[in-house]
Amino acid sequence: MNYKHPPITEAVIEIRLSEEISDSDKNKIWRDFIDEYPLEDMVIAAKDVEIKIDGNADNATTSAQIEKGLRRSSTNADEVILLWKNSFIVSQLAPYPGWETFIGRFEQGWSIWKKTAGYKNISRIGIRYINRIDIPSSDIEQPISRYLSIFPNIPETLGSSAHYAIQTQIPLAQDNLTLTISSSLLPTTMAPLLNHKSYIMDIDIGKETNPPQNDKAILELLNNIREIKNQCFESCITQQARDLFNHD
Amino acid sequence: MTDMQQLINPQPYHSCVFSQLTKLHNDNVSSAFNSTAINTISAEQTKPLNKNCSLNERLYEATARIKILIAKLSMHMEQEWRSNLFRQIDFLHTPEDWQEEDAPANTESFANFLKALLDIKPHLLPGLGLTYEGNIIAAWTTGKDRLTLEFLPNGHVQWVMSICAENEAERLGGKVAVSRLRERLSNNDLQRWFVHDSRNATTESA
Repeated sequence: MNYKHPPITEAVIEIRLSEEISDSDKNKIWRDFIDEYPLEDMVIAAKDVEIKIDGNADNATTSAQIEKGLRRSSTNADEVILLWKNSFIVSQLAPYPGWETFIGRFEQGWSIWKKTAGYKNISRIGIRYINRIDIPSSDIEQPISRYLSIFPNIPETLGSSAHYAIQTQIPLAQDNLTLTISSSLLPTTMAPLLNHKSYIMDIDIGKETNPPQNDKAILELLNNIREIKNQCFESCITQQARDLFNHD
Repeated sequence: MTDMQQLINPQPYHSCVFSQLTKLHNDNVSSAFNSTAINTISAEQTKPLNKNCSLNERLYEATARIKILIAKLSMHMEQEWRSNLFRQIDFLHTPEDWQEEDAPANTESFANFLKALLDIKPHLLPGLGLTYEGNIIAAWTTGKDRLTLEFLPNGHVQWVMSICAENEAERLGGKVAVSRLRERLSNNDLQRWFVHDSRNATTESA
């Protein structure tokens, strides 16, 4: 369903590799994106984290390998690409321009990436959509079930949640996919709007078992995942929530 | 979240403010399963801008942070508003007009400005300016009268109303939590500032 004001705060397509590309290739690819993504930045991630506890937790030591990734974004900072040694990520922040535009950016970026990196074995293909659903104050006292169909079941005698976070993972028979749904309610103090409650609905669908390796099959899979993602989102929200995304 | 937890589970950071939102969500939910990586931005972006960076780099980064803040709330604003705010931020951060010792726009201050803007929903956007500390100044003018709001990073707003009566400028003002700004201004004829044709609204800097 197309909404006037989609609640998507970030949409991501990730291609993960089972092997790494060289630093020089990564840097070359980074430069190849300079025209369309002029803002540049470096990102870090910790890998192979080790914690050693020798009897006393106070003496615990930790070590981790830090990997540097490269990030580029458009002038408006809403279109992003991320390059890691073992993954290629295309991200779209709000406002979401629609699937055709988003997948078009992916296709273009993937083609640039492959031109330098060449063929690499793909270990996972994933799509993730993070939605933020802002409920206005006039409806704050309404039960969450008025808007969402996924939430923690709390006994009425305990009152209503000020903040929660839940996650569930569901294997999908179709294409051997794995669906992960995360939902949370932000504390009022953290909501980006005054007099609103903000719920996060984070939907991640990935394929790790025999992911396709050629472009045609990759695009076919991404289109399938997108359909499933839409069905999942629609089944997690109610008509009242849909009305919020279509206001004038 | 401790430093160690941060290291084990690096989280997405979009900006100082939204990093907290996303971090809060992900602290609880994203570590359990192998999931699609999202637009991870380094933890350094939640820290103050690096003063060792060149002026251009600091302005560049500050502009990007503000634009991400605006983008995250874009579903609640017209495209025209978004473009206007982008233009004003680009203008405020023009390197050629910048004094080395001035601070670029503070993201918490800007987040508070956006909260107020989307709460009040004025018909007209204000002219934006910056204090030396990087706090956002929003100004609406009508004739010789002027309403100026300074958005502090701590969630408060300093407001000054300057009204010309019998050829004399009268001033009144105060400090209020951003959550109570609309109510406070309602006591002072809210509509006169936000509905009239404010083509005189100007963009200024400290």
